[in-house]
Amino acid sequence: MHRAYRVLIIYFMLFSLLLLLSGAMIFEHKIGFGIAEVQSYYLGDAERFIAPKSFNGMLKTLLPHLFVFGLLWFVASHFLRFTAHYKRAVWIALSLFWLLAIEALSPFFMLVHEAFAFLKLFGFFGSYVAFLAIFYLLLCAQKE
Amino acid sequence: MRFTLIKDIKNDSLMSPLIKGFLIFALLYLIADLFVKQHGFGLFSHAINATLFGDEELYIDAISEASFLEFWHTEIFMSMMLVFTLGTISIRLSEASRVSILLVNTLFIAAFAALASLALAFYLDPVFVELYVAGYFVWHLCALILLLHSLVSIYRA
Repeated sequence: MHRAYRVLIIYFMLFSLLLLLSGAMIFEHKIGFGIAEVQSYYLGDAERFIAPKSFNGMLKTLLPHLFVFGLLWFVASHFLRFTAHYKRAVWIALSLFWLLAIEALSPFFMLVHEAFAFLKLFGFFGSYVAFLAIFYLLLCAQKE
Repeated sequence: MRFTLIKDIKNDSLMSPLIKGFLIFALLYLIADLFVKQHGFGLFSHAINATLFGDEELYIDAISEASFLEFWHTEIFMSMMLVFTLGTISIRLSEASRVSILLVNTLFIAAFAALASLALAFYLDPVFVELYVAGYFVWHLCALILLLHSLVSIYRA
């Protein structure tokens, strides 16, 4: 791979980390990192004067995220193809796919049962770990 | 990223018009972004300060943290996708010339500095607004030069 493309991958990782940071800040500010807070945000809480999220409201949030998750997952994962360990890295890319799907769709599961709130947090933290793992592999590949 | 693997990309019957089309859309986006910022968030430090922190004389309320975070989050994604795609195409079309690599590096660093300083301005110190404005215009200028250079080189081929 040309050296210029290696540098582009580092820039991509830097921007992605900034995007992940801003995502975590929004999550913390609007929802919170506890199961009870996730339940309150989506299902409402009369004591805290929080209205439940409507189905349409959840769809409006989901729509851009589906495209962004797909694109970000594809771009970040496809760089693994250029590393020496890409065959072993497939499971990380596939794990990230399912974690992002869980993160995106779990609010709708909460409409069935509030206990599914843990899936939102599992998908959120799991996808962050998977993204960081991919970035770690890409950084290791820079030294090869 | 497939276009990085095609040898004579400038004369490829499919890739050449596709890249021209992308570059024209990207050019329109860059220009439209200036107008949208001018009418909404602000282009220069005075207007941006009023948006971020409010202005009592003009009866402008400060932006809420939730609105700011949503704006910042969206800006990061849009900017990263544009500079990343544009950087890749520019390097490919210029065959990684020194000037284009310098411009692409400046593009990425300025865009990253602009985005980071926006959050620093909101959470730490309004003085970072000046850095945001500088970074914003530098990355837009670099993007414009790279776009026009890429368009000229692909039309000349």
